[in-house]
Amino acid sequence: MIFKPALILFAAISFVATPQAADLPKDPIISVIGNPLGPPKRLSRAEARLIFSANIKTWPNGTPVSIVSMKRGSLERSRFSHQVLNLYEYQLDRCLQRKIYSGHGDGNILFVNSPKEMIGVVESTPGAIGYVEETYLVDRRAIIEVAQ
Amino acid sequence: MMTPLRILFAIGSCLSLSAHAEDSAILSGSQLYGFVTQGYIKTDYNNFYGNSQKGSFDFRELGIGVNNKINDTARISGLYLSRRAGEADDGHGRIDHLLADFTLAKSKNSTTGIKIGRNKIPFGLYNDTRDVASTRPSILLPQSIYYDHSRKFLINADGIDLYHESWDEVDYSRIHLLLEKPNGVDNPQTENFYLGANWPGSLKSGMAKGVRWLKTFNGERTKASLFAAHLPISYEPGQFDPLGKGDITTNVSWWSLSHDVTPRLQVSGEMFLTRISYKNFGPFFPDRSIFPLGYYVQGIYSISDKWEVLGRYDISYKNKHDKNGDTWNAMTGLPKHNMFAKDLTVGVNYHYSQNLMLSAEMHFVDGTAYLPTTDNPNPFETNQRWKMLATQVTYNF
Repeated sequence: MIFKPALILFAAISFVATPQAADLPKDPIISVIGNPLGPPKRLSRAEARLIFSANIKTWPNGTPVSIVSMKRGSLERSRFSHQVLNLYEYQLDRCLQRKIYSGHGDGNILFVNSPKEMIGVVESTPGAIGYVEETYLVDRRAIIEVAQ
Repeated sequence: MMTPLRILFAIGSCLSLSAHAEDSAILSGSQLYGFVTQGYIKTDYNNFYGNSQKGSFDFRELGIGVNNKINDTARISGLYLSRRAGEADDGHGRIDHLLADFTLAKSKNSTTGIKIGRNKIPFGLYNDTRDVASTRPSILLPQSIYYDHSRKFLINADGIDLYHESWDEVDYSRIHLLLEKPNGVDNPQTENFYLGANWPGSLKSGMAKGVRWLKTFNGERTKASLFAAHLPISYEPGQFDPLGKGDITTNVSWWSLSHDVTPRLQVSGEMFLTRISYKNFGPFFPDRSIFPLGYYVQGIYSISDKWEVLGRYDISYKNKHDKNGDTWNAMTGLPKHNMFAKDLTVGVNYHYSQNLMLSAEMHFVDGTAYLPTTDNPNPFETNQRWKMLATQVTYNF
């Protein structure tokens, strides 16, 4: 029967696929950025997780939260998820998909294709929050500090 | 219930047209998404999702959904689903959910709203997305809580879901009040679950009332949830029916707790407590109450950005006052092991990309309580101790 080999395979995977902190590139640094109207200038990691998993709908000043994200599967999104939220991208996706597929999703995530587009959308949308590689930032005033 | 759903479509269309005036790409954003899942099941004894003793590919799920934010206070969401699961689910397409969500009030840290239409039943950690493989930690959800052998009346319901959600800097909470009529009550599967066989008559669901409370703690590391509901069902006898016009009342609660020990290790457990009362079915089915019980503990470890592993111990009893099935066996002559199932599961997920996931898991099971009767029509041919290998590939977009 195939049950014993299958069990051995599970055990092998558990040991062989050991935690690899280095399997995601650590550079370049990803910064969270925000529109001047809405997001605070400083966040804890827990706050960042709550925001980017779409569990906050309005900022303290009443502006609706608008999340801007790079495309799923992009290197930037993977780095952001790991560096800033300390989650693997599939863990972040699972949170978001549970909201969407349960009918509780609110569609307030806008996916963009490039860092340039990201910066443009965050600058022009009140309440927007996103992220970008630091090297693309000309105006560093948009940066939101996330305490690690 | 197609008429209310058509009305809902019409409402959605009107709202959508009115929203074209919105200038913001984000506010008028609509999302189209979906998934395709194919599974393979192999058992040494007993059948699960088809003739799994020979190896069964009779397990697949397809879904396509849309979510459209009309404006800041209105949204529509829907999912069309096809599911094939052995003899239990034939793969016909159906509306999984289709709802209009209106925000009634909001403040800087809370929203109150109402969802009208076909809503998912939000019990436990997974039920409202149970047919979407990428949201499940394993191929099969723990069967003590998320019955697959009699799942149809647990999936969705038509009515209203009044909710209030609030958040502070690091945590959130939600409460739902539900007044809905569950779908999937009048079918052989549900009749088998409630009445032990497919009788000539039919089941009719009354209006169910439910409440769900969910809260996170410690910066979302801990999540607690409770769902309690009251469901009245009536039985209308058919021709030459030995059963009378009877009533079934189900009072149920699901208790859930999960905790992220580290960002990589999540431990969770859930419990299912029910009282099912039968009245007026006549001498062949005396008035009585039974108390199904189920619970599990589970650990999920994210090894890397590709791999995660899972271990789980899951226990189901069809009646907590007859855990070993002695009374059942004395009453009916049917095997004792029909009344319980203890399932040790180990599994692995491989995230090939953000869209493609491969999964495999092994179940070591003592008892047959959760076997689908449609795949195992003769209870005397079931084996108490059995093993199951399940594999799955899922693609989502």
